[in-house]
Amino acid sequence: MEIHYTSMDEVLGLDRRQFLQGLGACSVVAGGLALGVPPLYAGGQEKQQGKPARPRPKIKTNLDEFMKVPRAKCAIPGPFPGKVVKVVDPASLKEGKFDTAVVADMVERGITRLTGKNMKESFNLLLKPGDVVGLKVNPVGAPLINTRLEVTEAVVRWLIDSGLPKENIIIWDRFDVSLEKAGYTKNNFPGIRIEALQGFVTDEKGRHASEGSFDRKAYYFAKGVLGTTGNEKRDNGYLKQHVFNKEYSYFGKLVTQKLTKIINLPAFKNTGNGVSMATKNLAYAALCNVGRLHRPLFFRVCTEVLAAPWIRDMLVLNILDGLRAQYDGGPGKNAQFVYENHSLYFATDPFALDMVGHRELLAKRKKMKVKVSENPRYTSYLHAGEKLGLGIADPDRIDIVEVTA
Amino acid sequence: MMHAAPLSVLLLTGLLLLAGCERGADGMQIGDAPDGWDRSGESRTFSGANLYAYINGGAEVFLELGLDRLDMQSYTRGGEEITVEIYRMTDAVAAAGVYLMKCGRETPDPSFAERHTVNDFQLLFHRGDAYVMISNPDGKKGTTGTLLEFARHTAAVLPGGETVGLFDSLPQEGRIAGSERVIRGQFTLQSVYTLGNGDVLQLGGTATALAADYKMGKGGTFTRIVADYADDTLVRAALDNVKANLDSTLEITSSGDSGIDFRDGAGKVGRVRVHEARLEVTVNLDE
Repeated sequence: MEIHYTSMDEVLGLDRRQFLQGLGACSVVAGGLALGVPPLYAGGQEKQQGKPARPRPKIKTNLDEFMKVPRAKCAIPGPFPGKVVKVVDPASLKEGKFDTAVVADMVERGITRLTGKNMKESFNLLLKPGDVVGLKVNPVGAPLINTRLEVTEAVVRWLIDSGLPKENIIIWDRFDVSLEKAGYTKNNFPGIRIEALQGFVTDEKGRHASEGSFDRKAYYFAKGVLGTTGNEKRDNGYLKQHVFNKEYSYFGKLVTQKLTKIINLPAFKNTGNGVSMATKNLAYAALCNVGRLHRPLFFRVCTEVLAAPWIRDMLVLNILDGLRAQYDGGPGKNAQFVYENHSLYFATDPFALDMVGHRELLAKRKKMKVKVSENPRYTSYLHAGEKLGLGIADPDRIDIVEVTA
Repeated sequence: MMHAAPLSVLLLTGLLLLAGCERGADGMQIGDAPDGWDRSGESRTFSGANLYAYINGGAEVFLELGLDRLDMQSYTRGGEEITVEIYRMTDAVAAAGVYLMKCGRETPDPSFAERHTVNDFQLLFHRGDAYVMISNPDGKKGTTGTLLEFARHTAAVLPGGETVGLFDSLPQEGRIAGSERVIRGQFTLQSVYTLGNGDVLQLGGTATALAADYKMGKGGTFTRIVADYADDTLVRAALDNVKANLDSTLEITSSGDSGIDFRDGAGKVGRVRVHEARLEVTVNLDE
């Protein structure tokens, strides 16, 4: 492989105990403000019955350790920071039917307009013939609002036509059942590897058959965020779902050991007042034990996991599937809020892409007269990404190129 | 393919549990398929926090309002497919709360008695403790009849539950029909208004606040949120918590024992008031 990182504690020459002690010692730095993480990230409170909550200190993570690892040459935001190409073609979706040829043409127009090169040259700019390329699709919300097979097929065709062996392409997501339900099967993608980080099979002791799929040397750490409540009955569901638990979310070995490049293929949809697009598609799917992270950290995870070397240094392209889009009720499917958007979005910079998506979604929500919150807390994680050098989130610095049919 | 534990290890355990996505859970009542339809595959159940495995971040709203489990079953007829998802909530208020968040502008069909909305892709309804989503993946025109047929079959096996009068604590005058919401924590509150950090109303996933939009006399709308607490101590604590954790974009303009006034970035005014064990929040008011 071109890039392989071991655990952060190995990088620092520490064992885990020392590493944890170190995290405690550098808590002030890890407090995040030094890294430009907005105070809104402080999130939750410590609550006692009948008393006002005290503001809780910012949750410590291992973001600083990620940032200490030197960046690879191809690290995000890649060769086109702040550039987002939007390709619109009404012929891509008519009366509920997707036109495979039109979608493939949109993919070509988007990639070539983004890079300024032809398809083969674009491949050579972003990838190499020996790469093992992971296509991170979004199957949640299938069949209404997931990554369309037509988009993924077009990307696969581009990779193969550019000289990448079929066996070097892996379509992936976190759960096997989700991939299958969305149609990501061997029948639909002959010769292409389809891999999930985990399934749900456990033994009588509750151990997952998928334990071996995760890399214990590569993790996202969030101190005190356990995902459990101490109530055995309530916790049972959580522990049965997630491989491992407690304060560590381990990256899949697929990401840390097999892939050399990632192409991110999210779908265009909301999650509450924010978006579930490029950054979230990776941040909540490259790891185990992520359910615990939603309530206390939520969008912060989207920044920090993308700062991890295993993502940051391998993510070379994002194609946001906005052929259909969903402006409310997401990230699960909700037909009430789904509309035909006839658009694909291309960027090497996932933070710029999410900001563009967020602003489009906001405009759509206003138009459709659903409640809109323009509170900065719903985009502060994107600005935090910019301060970390991972992308551009300032709308004034984002260059949107629209290509129409 | 996936890294799995060696087969021998699995065989030695002698038992495989299907966690998270469970099959054939006891007590599942999805109902028989309408004539001509066959079950496709096994039914699946996601209990409690396992819902993350199905809709990831979307699970938060269900869990906050109170989810027991989700039962799913797909059906086929020729090349058609219908999926029925029954979200078993902890109570009828939670089921109504999910429905109101998901239904959007309702387009009901008069032939189905439960409160519902239907289009070519989906039919959503709630009955008793259940919120139900029936999906037609193809969205072919003219298939709402099929969705309605499944809805009737499903409703027939679901016990009823009382939510009449749920919003009685909200004044009727000026209330905009369809804007009503149920709030039990930070995520359901944020879908209505970003008031502060975390569970700023200290509802704890069990106490319930209700919200609705209202017409103002000279045009425009404002939002009213009403939360009833078990006693004065709890409501006072909630008020103190709002003061301490008010969103950083909101500026307190006056503060006293009975509440606070604040102004948002757009110059709109908000008020938080305590009356006995009730806390009332009104936002988006004109100056």
